[in-house]
Amino acid sequence: MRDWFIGILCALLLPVTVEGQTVVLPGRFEVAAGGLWAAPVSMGAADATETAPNGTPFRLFSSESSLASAIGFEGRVGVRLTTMLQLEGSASHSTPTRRTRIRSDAEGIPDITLAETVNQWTIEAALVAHLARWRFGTRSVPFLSVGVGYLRQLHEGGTLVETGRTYQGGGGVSVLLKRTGERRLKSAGLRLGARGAVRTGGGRLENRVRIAPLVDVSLFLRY
Amino acid sequence: MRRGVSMALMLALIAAHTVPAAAYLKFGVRVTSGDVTLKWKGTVRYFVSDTGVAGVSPAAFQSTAARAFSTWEAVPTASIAYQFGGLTSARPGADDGRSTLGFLEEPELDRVLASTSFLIDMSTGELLESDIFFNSAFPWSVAPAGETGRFDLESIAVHEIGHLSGLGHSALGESELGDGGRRRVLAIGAVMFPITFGAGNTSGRALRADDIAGISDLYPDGGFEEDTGSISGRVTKNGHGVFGAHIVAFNPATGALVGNFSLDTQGRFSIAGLTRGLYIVRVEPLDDANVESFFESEPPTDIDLRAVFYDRLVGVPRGGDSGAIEIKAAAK
Repeated sequence: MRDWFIGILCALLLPVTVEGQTVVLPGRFEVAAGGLWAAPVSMGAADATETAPNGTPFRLFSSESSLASAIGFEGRVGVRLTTMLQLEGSASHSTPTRRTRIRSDAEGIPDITLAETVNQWTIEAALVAHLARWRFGTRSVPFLSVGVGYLRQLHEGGTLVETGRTYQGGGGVSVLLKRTGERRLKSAGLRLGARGAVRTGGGRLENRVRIAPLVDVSLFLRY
Repeated sequence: MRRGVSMALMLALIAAHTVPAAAYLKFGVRVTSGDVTLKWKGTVRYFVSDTGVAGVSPAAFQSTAARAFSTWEAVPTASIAYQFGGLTSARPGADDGRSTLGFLEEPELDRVLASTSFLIDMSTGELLESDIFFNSAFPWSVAPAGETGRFDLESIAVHEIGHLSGLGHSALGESELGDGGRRRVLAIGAVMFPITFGAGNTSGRALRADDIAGISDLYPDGGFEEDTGSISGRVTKNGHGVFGAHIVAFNPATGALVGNFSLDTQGRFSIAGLTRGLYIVRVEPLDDANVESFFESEPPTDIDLRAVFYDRLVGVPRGGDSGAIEIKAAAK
């Protein structure tokens, strides 16, 4: 684990020393907007239990919950700290469907799946490293990112708000579409990313760590 | 009242009825000014009879009762407090203004382990006294781990003290009818379930989420009303309200099961004391114990229901209500 971490750190630092003056993405500030797709993720399972005469749990019924895949939108602002590192803040919104499947009822109620739409917001901060050393062509730069965030879910009916945290890491590629050479708008491009997000709170039923894959596409402007 | 292994059900109260449309099943009385919830004002002072039975000395009886009282007193979200007044030669059932716990030989009550009675000022609804009798016709035990063939005094005392404090029966439990109409308990989900496990079982010493919600609803403290919410609504069948349906709210995040009943002819119910979160709501007929153990005969309790889940998850906010839901049940 430590070696792996050092390896990543070296990869991040090398471009600074080797190509310290290279700026592939002109502009210090970035504004971006785009869409995201979140893969389905299990929220865990829970049995409704009473106590049997011998002290063991007596299952009244079982339940399993999951968040279905969802499409949402995301807005982002960033500021370049060094030629390689960029600090970003982002906000996203999506409306995944939460499904809870109930089965094995002790009195024979047929299995049923309950569904509700969740209004989900995240606010995240991330550190992005543009890996100029591994750029392909003159327009495409891969990047790695790590971030933490705040999760807020408003459940159907509007009576319940659940909050949690998000931890995410991933990477992708920024493609420079245009260098404007203008005084204010320096460049514009497209960013494709893939992340793994771990969430705490937000209606999860277990402590087990589950990584939710997330893909995003955004159009950015740099100033 | 708590009965033996397969006891039929009987309400433990005299001159009492359930309070309609209230959260959790609480006892109440009807006085001239209306319905009054039966509850204590201030610390409950109790006395313990100085007569023991085989296997239970008066000192062991007193210490067991003290543990059972402290189980309820330890609920952090309830304010009820009890105080031991001393040993007494008085017997439970005497209208002497003292709440007394004691043994009585009642062999004709062959399926009744213990019972709680109340003395109430019917002009004001004030609770004056509550006695608990334990039937010495049954074998009793105060052994820490229980004793085969003997009923655990502490478990039964915890249940009866729930009544003494004003709680009615909970229907969170499963049973099946056996020979001679006796019920065999398959599981319990609340200390206040009216039928106990067999002799030797000590699992009734620990309160469940349903019991804690009930006592906290009756004597709220420690931010209970601000921190918990409720689910309310109606149970209907063919468009008409259902009286006496058992509604259970399950929080998958905490594992807590809390129940209540539809308590009027409109089928209205309210389940209070729920921690914030999403709930699965299940409705079933009151068929795991005798109906008389829960309600008076009027209005008639409708047990011709098929158990069903409400078709949505229900969000419960902190300090608020879910908003009224309607659970449509069908006849069996």
